[in-house]
Amino acid sequence: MLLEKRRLAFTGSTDPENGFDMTVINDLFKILVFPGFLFVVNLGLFLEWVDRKIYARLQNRIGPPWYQPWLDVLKLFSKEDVIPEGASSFMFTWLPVFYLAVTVTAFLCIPVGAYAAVYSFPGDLIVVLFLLTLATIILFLLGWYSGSPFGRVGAVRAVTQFLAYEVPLVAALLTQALLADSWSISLVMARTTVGFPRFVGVHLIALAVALISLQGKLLRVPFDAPEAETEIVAGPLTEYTGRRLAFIRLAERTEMAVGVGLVSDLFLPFPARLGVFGFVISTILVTFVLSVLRASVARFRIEDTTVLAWKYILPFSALGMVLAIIVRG
Amino acid sequence: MSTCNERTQGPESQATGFPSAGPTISSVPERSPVVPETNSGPDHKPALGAEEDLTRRVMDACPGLGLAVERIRPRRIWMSMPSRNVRAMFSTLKGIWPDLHLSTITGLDTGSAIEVIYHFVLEKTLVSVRLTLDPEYPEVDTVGDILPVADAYERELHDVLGVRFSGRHSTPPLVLPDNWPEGYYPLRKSAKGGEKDVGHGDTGGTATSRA
Amino acid sequence: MSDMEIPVGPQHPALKEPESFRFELEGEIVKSVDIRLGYVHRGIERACQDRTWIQAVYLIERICGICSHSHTTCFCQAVEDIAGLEVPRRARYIRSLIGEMERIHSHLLWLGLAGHEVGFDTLFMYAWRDREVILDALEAISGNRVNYGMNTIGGVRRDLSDRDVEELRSAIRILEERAGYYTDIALEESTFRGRLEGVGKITKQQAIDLGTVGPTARAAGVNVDLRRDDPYAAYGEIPFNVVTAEDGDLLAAAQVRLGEIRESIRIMKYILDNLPDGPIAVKAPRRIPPGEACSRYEAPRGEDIHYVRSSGGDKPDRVKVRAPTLANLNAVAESMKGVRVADIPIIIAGIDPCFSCTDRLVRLQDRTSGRVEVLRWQDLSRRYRR
Repeated sequence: MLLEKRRLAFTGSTDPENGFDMTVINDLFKILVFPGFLFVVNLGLFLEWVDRKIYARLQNRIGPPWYQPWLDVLKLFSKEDVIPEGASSFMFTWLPVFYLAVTVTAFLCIPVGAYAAVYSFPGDLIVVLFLLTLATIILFLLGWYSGSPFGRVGAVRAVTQFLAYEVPLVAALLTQALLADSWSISLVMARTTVGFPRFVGVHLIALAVALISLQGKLLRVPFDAPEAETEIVAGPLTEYTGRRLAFIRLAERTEMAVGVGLVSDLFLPFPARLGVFGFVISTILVTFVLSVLRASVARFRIEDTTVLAWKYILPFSALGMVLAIIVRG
Repeated sequence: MSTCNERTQGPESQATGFPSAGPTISSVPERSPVVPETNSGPDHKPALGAEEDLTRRVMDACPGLGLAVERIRPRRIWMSMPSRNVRAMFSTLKGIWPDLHLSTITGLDTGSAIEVIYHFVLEKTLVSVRLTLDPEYPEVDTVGDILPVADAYERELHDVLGVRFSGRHSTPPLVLPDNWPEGYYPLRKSAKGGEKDVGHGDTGGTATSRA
Repeated sequence: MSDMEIPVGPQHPALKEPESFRFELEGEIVKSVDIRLGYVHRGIERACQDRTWIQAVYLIERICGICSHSHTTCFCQAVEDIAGLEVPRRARYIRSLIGEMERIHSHLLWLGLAGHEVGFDTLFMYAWRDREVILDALEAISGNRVNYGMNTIGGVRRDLSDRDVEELRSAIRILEERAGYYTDIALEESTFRGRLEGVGKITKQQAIDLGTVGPTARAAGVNVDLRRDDPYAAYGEIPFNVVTAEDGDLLAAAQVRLGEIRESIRIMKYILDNLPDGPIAVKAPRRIPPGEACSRYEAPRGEDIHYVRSSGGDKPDRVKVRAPTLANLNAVAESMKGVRVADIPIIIAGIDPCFSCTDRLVRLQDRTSGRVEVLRWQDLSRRYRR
């Protein structure tokens, strides 16, 4: 909440002619409705449906109707809320809320197509990455304070995996930033097609690394060891029920929208050219790739994930960065 | 055991519609091969020669243990012996037939005695050796150290029939819950379960149905 | 992370039936495992003693939802042995046919679950979709998808019509193609393969000493198959291969099961081509003469053994069932030592455990599992409250 207030002060000065009241209403609308809270939560749930539908079709199933993710969340809100005996009730109650706040805040920095981000400044890319990292730490705390052995194993795994994918993910985004010569998401976005034929190779390397690391960030197969159902039930989330689980679920979907949106903005040409529509199309495209990846492999053990990340993905992403520096010349 | 083992059965495999380069083998070339073995055609009704021969060899291997043949059927040999010799028998047989496979141990209450039957496989023949135990205090030596698989079967028999296996350091319940009442063995003839309540754990588990 | 205890079961997503495994962990490494059975006891052995011979067949059918035909065949064979009944040739062929269909659907079920345990849900969905082919065929023949009710003492209850035979042939065509496809994706998809290779390994000597049976034993190179070693039903007249592998890990188990699906298809074809005419059952007496018999059956999971004793009445005097999972659990406990948490589910699933089969013995009132479970959870929360 504190973060959002500060942001208000920042954006409040954009249009002094309208008078103070109008600006506040305008900003509140931006933060709470579009392109802020309501938009990102719904986009997240929509992408969940896209993901589930594609996954189902790839598995020769019919898949859920489009409104299923909304129903799931509504149902969770109406379910019984249990705090297990061994859990820390303060952490247990507030962490899910923080989780959602952090991911929604991260999205405020992400431009939705031509529609500028609620809060945009040079270096906002770093802030988004920082907030996404914070989300992972919250996931760790969720598990650690839930008082369940499954939660603890899952929490430790989440942090272990964080060490594996974080560096390649940052490196891949950094490659894009280097090519565009800016830390501002909207500038990188505007310049995705600059130097078009020359940079394609580097773009593709960075995109591949970003997609794989994003899959790890979002704890999806094959990198779902922290939440591996058949091993540790639901990992950090095992003990959560009802409202709290609904908050976590919304936060996870938002995190997905942030990650997918970030990759779309930074790597794909459509958001800058086709506006909001292009943004949504791009997120669907990125989700599609992530779904296909999820459907075609088995889960890695956590040790294997680390090895894979450090042995193969990291050198690959470093290569991308070096190439970026060279081609920028 | 060579990779071409399946190929040698080419015509047969073809007849089944599996190409002889079927994926069972060829798709995993770098691993040791899957080795199929042909069951050669129609079975001829066996005379009991092999079983009689095996019986003779078992008897010869275990002199002085009181083994007695009850009957011989196709691929089945039924024997009985005094319960005190069971360990001696199994360690002897395991020495001669290292691939001895203990299928299970059956226990039953005949009303006048507790019978324990060891079913094990020697040379594809199921040998069943019957021990007759005192119903008041059924006890027999454990064979769990000779045949590790016996552990589960012994625990099961202890649970349901109250057969004690001496030589084990403990006989934790296998199939019955931890709070099952002591001394109530559901497969004894005297245990009339069914309609009656056998009591609940937290009240101390009194077996009201013991007749 | 220091020592920690992880309960897998009685309720856990990796287990399709309630059973309790408690793992002592050191970090992600398993130090020891404590297996506790008994959560799905229904007291079938004891209950059989209160039922007539024919009623007992139906009860035995319900020992297990997957290998129901295995148990009834095994039981009926024992009773037929005691009563000296000669089962007609056609009935024996039909028994074998249903037995092989059951093996195929059981192995496909296993393949899907194995995929699910290692997070490869696509394989799970595909394998189970094609399992429907065989379930539909079973339904067409027997009227039921799982508890077929085909067996009776003295033969089988339903004959195979020409239409059934045709339907079966078309099902076989689909399955043949699919079996090849699964062998490809299951054994070549590198992430899936990576999760199976070298995991849950037992040596041949261990497999023998621990008394493992069926595919678990064959995967370790133990060449046993009761269809060949102790032929029952029509197997003495049917040519087929026994599939074995040597590595003793889960990949070998997958190879063996996939190979067996193909052998089963082959056996089914042979049976359909060579189905003899004649009656499908002989009349069984209401009272079975006194005697005892022991019958063995190669269930999809391995050796199923029934001991039956009659005292001459219309009810069995004693029925003893030893399902293959009990024999194979020893191998699970053995191969668990030193593995990582990630491999726990697939190792348990590796033997294709069927706990309903394993827990069948005594009649329990409703007094047990619920209460025990509650205690466990109290145990747990006490332990982790700090």
